[in-house]
Amino acid sequence: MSISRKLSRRDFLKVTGAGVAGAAIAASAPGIAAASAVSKPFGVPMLLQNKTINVGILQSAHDQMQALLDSTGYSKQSGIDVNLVIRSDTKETEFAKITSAVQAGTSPYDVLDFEDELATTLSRAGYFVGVDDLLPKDIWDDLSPAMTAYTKVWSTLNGETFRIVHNWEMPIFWYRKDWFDAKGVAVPKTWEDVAGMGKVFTDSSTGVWATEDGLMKGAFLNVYLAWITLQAGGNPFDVGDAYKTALQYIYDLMHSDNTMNPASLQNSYDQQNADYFADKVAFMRQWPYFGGLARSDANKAWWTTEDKAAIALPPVGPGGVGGSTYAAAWGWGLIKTAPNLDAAKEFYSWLVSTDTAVAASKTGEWFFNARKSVLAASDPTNWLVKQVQMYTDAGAIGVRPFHPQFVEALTILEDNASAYFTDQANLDDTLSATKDQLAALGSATPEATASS
Amino acid sequence: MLDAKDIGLQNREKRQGLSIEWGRIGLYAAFLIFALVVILPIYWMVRSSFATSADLHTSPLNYFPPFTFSNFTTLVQQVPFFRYVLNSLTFSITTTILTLVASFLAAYAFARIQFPGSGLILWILLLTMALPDIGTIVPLYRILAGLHLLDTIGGLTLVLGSALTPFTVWVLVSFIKQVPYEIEEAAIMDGATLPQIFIRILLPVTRPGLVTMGLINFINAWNNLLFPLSFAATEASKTLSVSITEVYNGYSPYGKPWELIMTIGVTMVAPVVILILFSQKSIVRGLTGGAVK
Amino acid sequence: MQNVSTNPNIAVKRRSFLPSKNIQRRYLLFVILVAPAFLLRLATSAYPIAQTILLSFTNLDLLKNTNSYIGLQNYANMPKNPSVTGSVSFTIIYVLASTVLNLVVGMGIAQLLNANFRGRWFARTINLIPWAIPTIVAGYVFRWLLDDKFGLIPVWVQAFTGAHWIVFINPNASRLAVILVQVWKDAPFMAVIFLAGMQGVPLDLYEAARVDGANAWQRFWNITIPMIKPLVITMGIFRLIWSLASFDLVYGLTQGAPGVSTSVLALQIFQQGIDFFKFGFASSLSVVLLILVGIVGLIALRLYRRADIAY
Repeated sequence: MSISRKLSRRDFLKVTGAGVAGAAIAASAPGIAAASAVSKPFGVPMLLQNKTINVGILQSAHDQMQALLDSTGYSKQSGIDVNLVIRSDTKETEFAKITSAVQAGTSPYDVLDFEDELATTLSRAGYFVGVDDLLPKDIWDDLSPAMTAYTKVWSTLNGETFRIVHNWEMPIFWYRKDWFDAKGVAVPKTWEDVAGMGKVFTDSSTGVWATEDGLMKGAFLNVYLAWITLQAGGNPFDVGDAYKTALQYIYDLMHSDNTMNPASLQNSYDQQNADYFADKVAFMRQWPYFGGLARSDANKAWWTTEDKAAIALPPVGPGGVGGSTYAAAWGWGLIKTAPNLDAAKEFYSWLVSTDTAVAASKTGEWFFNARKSVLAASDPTNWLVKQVQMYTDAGAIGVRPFHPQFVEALTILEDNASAYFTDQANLDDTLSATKDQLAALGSATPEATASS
Repeated sequence: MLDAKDIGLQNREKRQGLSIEWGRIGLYAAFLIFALVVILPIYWMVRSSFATSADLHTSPLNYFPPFTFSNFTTLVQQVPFFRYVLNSLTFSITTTILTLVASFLAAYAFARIQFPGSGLILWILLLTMALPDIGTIVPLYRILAGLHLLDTIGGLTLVLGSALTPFTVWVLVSFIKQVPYEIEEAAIMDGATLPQIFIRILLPVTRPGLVTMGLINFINAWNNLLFPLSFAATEASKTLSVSITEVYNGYSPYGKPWELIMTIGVTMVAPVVILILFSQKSIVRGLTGGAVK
Repeated sequence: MQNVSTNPNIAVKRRSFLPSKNIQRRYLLFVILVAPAFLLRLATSAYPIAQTILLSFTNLDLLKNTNSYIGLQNYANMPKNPSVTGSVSFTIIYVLASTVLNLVVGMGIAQLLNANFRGRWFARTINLIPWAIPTIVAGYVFRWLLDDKFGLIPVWVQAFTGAHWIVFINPNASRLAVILVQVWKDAPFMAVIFLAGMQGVPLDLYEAARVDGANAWQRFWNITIPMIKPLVITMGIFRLIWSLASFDLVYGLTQGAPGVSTSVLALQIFQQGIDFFKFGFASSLSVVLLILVGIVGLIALRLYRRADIAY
């Protein structure tokens, strides 16, 4: 089986609806299937037949979803017609749309495909149906341990599961194997190794840096903060020792170790990637889509060997290997005021079953994840499959740091951390300010501590 | 520091061999710097919108990259571009109309019906200009939601039209006051009604003022960001100004799609620049009409 | 207006809508004519501001579903919140610095536009461009212009001086950028106003001064400035008030980064209100903004009073 890596149509994921300064797009993994914005407010008018359900998906997922339905012949077998409704890729729009519909006792979708940010807001507004009794019994064995842990935090409310994810994207450790081999240097395996890479690679005369990232405010910085804090063994939203260690480490990487390019603080991913393609970066953290980007037509001239963007396990920090990276995902949920709830439940059971998961993964990356069945049925020579397998086998995937008011909380983190990194505040002030502001937000949940 | 007479004087002095021409050089140098500072960002925007992303990220910079329309076609494919243009147009036109109508009526009243305290009332109206728009968006959000005017062009029109009214009233008052009352008086004696006075007499005579304020308000509405950003949720009422922020905050594998951002920028700027090219004097008259008598 | 009704020989067939005698009908007409404008202002400005003040004493939060009276709690939370304190301090710096610069640069441009040279029409026309451009577009354009790798300005600076400018990771550089772009955007508008004012100054005054031996600078300082001083003060006050409400520029250019060094109150209000739906807290921030506006207004009154005394 080969996963199609079609990146020719580079739509972009638009994250602002009624204005979001801190869009969590980077945090929600831009992914291989990014979406454009054509959203029809309420889709096709619902037919009177009981056996038609509306499934809300992104524009970019449409073809894969359709392929899944066609290849399995679902509608014929079950008698349920599945109407694919394009949802907006902007969470505010969806939130507003669903809220007003639910208040009126209906819903634009029976089943919805949604991201982590909507998971927190919509679930806590009480819009989802618990799906535990719809899940196949073997699902908890099929999901990888990391996926299960993640589900317990991000897809569970009051002990009830409300979402099962279908993709599984994590920040990957990319490195210039050709450079490392040429210098005879081993890939950094620990934080100390990383800090020492500055002496090996950073060269001001050529403008090369050991590493670079996209650290600008607006949900970019927060990804890296979460990544490093998880490696330090904690949750940044707890503002504990792990976060303190992480901040100090990042600061040193930029200011004393000469390892990370300080200009990263104003980078979004384009500058980061552009610098990598300009041979100015020895290794970096980046989402899976980068692999597709490197192999795309735009970089054909540059992509002479796989060694230019090789994948390794992320460096291990004080937190141990279990928190080397984390995954973010999109998944399926059932809305409680769905017009055709019974049919939707039937569909849902089918959708999350093992066989369907395997069939779906064959349609493209949007449905590729780390479920054992999926990995077993995937082409082991494919770079993405290899990466997910490698990280899963090593147990390197921790739970994405969680906060019930995720978007607001990440803005607080970013504001303060950014001030610290640009020498506007010292570490202790930064930490106490962050802690105070997060406390003012309201409760950090018990789930948050479970993830550390 | 140099007015017409100065130059003439200097020329005379020059002929008498009494002064140097450096003043003239300095003047043209200042003009050049001024023109550069104003035009450079415009050039930058235009260059970036008609070039591919790859051509923009070259080192050294390519000042005249190969011309391409691809950004426009990309935009049209990826966002409801024409819808946004339509919304911006509709929003600007309706706001202008609402503002002019409300302002014209009020301006007539302030100009023609004077009584002790009418000046104070006008002053109070103008004082509302000092209230920051940003301070009203929270209650306005709830008000519009209650009236089911959220995410509608109509709701936006009401809000911005209201915001533009005080300045428009101020300017129109001075325009109307310049119209000699005798004309109206004669019409009254011939038995004209108030609406007839408005339409037959005042409108034609104050047309320059109305055109001016129409232009200024159209430009203000076209450029407005805060209200559509706060109150529009879907493409039903989002305008170009909102779309440019979406594209900026949006995300492509190439990151900030500057070429697309600048393309929307050009789309927003081009009509306005064309407008002011043709009506510079008129606009200036309007802008100064309130401040300078 | 002549009172023709006293002459019985003239057949008066006029509808008396502007009756000189019937005061009540005049008032009624006045009310009807100004009603649309006033109702609009009441509904979208006066009433919302009053609401804002009321809401500032609550913890209204759409996402958390809270809505109860909490007194001054919102205000008490502000000094402890660096985002707020940072925004307030930069708002004040930004407002003062940009207004002063706007006045000075605006005056300079006005001088240029007042001079007689070929191409003056062109100068006066392009002068309107910064005013006409949407502020958000100006913000994005300059963000791109100042990009440290592919932006025109840092590239030229590097070519001429070798210095590598990375503007947006440096708080002070970012602040300067915000202020200067604001001046780029608004000084031309100042210039237009000042120009109109300067054109009203009688030329004989200049002539007389020249005859007395005053040079160009002295003529400017002793004639032009005093003559348009009321205008300068007025525009200064307007500029102060308008920049207090400034949102678009910072939203486009820096989004308040790095840290919160370039965050202004309006940005905070927007973020808290529209992004996070924390309406109570956003309202309290708005009240702080209103207080700042009020302070400027009081300064304005005092300045006007002093100017009146002088003239």
